[in-house]
Amino acid sequence: MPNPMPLIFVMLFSLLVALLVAVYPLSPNLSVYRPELLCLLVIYWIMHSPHQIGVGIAWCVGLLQDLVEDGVWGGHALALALVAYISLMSYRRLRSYSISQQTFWIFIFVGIHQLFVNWVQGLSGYAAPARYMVISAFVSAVCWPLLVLLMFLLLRRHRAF
Amino acid sequence: MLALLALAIALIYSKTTWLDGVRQRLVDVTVPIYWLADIPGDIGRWSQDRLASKVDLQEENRALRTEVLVLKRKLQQMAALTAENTRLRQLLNSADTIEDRVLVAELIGVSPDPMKHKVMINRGTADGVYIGQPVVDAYGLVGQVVEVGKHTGRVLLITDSSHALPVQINRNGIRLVAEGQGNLFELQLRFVSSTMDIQEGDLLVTSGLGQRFPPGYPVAQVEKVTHDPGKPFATVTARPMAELNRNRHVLLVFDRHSMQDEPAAPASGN
Repeated sequence: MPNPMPLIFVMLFSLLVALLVAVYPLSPNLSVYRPELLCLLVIYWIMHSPHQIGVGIAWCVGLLQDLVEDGVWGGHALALALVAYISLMSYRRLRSYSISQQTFWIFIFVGIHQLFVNWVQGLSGYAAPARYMVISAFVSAVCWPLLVLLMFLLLRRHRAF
Repeated sequence: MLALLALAIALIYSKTTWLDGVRQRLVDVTVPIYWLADIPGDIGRWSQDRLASKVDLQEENRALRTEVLVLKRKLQQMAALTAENTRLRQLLNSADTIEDRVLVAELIGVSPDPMKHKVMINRGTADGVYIGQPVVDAYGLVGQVVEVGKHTGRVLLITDSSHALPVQINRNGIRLVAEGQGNLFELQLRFVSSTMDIQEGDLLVTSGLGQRFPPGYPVAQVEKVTHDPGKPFATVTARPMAELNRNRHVLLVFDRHSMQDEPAAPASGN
């Protein structure tokens, strides 16, 4: 990698933006449609540089999200670590897919993420109805091509796939 | 490993109180992110304030003047009524109700999870805010402070599914318990017997029995009473009076107990 510093900078910045999106004030009706940008970004960065980003970093990012969102601590950490593990196992296959196939897989991934987050939230009695999870996974999946395009423009120099 | 660790943290968090101290300390660290996320909204409001036309301002000014006039008229009667109330209370040998002091706080964030009804405010221990402090707005009870940092705090709304509070019907003084349902526009009343005198449109006010909320603040209006012969209790839903989804400013109420503890807390208004 010719110039690694900017890449780390872009990574941190994108995660910060995703964290802001995660807490951006929306009315309860709208926040059902909030995309899980942090989850998408973790998957994206694992596909981009699987040797730098691992389950540990995903876990830390998830815990940070838990702390900021004031949910049950460990919920997002658990879900993001699992999603990171699955995407680490399958990043070669994911890279070779077309965008539409990737989008479908992202739908499944975010669905798994939501399932675990929701299960942990349920420990303190805040379980959401199942349709919220499906909506969230769907909106996130729709955001995936946009994210890939945006990152493609941002990271032309560091292109990996 | 990490998954197990996360699970352990989740269990400790939800089943024990060991992490409460850390949570309190982290409020000041995490809430600024909400403040940062709110900046676009702030800019919008700022430009709306600055770029309002003269005609609009004059119009608003006129409306406010009319409102002040109407409120002042109500206040004239209020003075006499308060005096009368105090006299009657003295006759009954009961304690005087002291007017509560309040502190204005601004909302800086709302909980991102639609199921969780919590808001962040820009006041903390530095302003004398304490855990369990009641929060009201111009129309009724909003909730109570559950976590407080130095300059920020989190307020649990009365509609959160983990919140319940003692209320009474303003019309006849019947005491009830109002439970949050995780819906911003609905509270449910528990254990309403089928024979109880409760009607649609009844105003529910805080009863002060929980030792948490001062008595007499409007909480909700009864919206629907359903009697089901097969069930021991009637199903009663009420709509919160406070504008939980759109207020920007809330009032922190210092009740009597805390006034003795924290006399130095700054307060504005009455």
